[in-house]
Amino acid sequence: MNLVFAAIVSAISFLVTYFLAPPFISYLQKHGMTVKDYHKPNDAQVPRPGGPIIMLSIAAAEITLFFLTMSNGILAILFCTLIAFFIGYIDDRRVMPGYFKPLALIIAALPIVLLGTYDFYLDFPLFGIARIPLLYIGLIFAMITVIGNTVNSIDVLNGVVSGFIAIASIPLIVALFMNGKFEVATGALLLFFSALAFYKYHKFPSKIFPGDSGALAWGAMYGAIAIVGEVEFVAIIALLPAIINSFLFLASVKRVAEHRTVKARPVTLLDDYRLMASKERDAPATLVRMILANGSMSENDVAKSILKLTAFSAGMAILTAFLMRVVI
Amino acid sequence: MRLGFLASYIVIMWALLIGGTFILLKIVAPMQLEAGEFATSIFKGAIALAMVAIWLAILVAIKNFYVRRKLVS
Repeated sequence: MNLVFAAIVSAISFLVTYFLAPPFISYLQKHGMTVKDYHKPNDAQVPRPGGPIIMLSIAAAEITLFFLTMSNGILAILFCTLIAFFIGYIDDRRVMPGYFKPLALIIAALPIVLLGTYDFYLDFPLFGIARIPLLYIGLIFAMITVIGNTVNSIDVLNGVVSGFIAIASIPLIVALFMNGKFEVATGALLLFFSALAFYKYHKFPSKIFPGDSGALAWGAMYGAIAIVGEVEFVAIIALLPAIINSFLFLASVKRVAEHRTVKARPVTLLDDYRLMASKERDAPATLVRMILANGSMSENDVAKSILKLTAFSAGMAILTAFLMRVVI
Repeated sequence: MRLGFLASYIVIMWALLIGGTFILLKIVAPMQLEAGEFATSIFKGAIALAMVAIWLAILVAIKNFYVRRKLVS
């Protein structure tokens, strides 16, 4: 029965995105909701945001899953994702200050706390479990905020954030099935299929961008699944490329800031539209700049490199999931 | 080899996280001060925060070394 549920919600998540994205792209183009793709010639415009179509596919699949399982955990994941989507959508439509998303995402963590879909234990590989009653509540707010923004910050090139979420979901699915958490594992499965279907339109050259609404919805959902499914440590390992990206940026600029507000650019665009790392001392270090340290690359090759790193990290996260079952 | 540094960075972060959990769960958690429960909690919290600061300093130092060597002209 669990496999039937998983197949139904996975199909809903994938097919809604796959078939509704093309008409939605036309709708966005028709209404002038496009942004410039800075890494393409001839002032290429790309429809944005794809967040509504991502949210629609996730909501349709999650609501189905909720009625199949009547699980509070699924409801908490759905509300958390929905709130994060609306926060991102505000940022898509109006330019908000740098502190808006980190602060507003605290609200997205509320459904998890209010519905009580967590426990006070943190599982670690090799060394057992820690019980942190009061600290864990704070950790829930921190995790949703940090993971939401971290995933949003990796939305740097065509196809990266959708490919990243699809690959990073795999260790979550493995860990959750290993722990017998079938309902939440199915939730992770629909996240995987949502990102996979969107990747078809987001990959190089992008036909649509997810926008903050799409990236924050995916990020908050990822964090919510990790908390409700109690696989926080595995999630952190799988997200390391995005965490490194945020960490490098914050360690360089030494404040919470939107990338657009930083004057020195980490990457320069060559005449042939290849990307080259900035040699400026003040330019922030980012994942893309580090990848370009050995020479210029095309946008597509940089995106593929990020996805290769994500696959490497996902492999380490799966290894960590197996180590969770070993206690020294 | 383009991704060699970043893959190593991921492995270092992973090792620091695993090492950190070993120190916290196996060495710090069983500690008990004679000054009482509250003082013990403060002491353990301070060790955890100090570890976070040291871990971040290690990662920043590695990043700065690589940026200076490969990126800044």
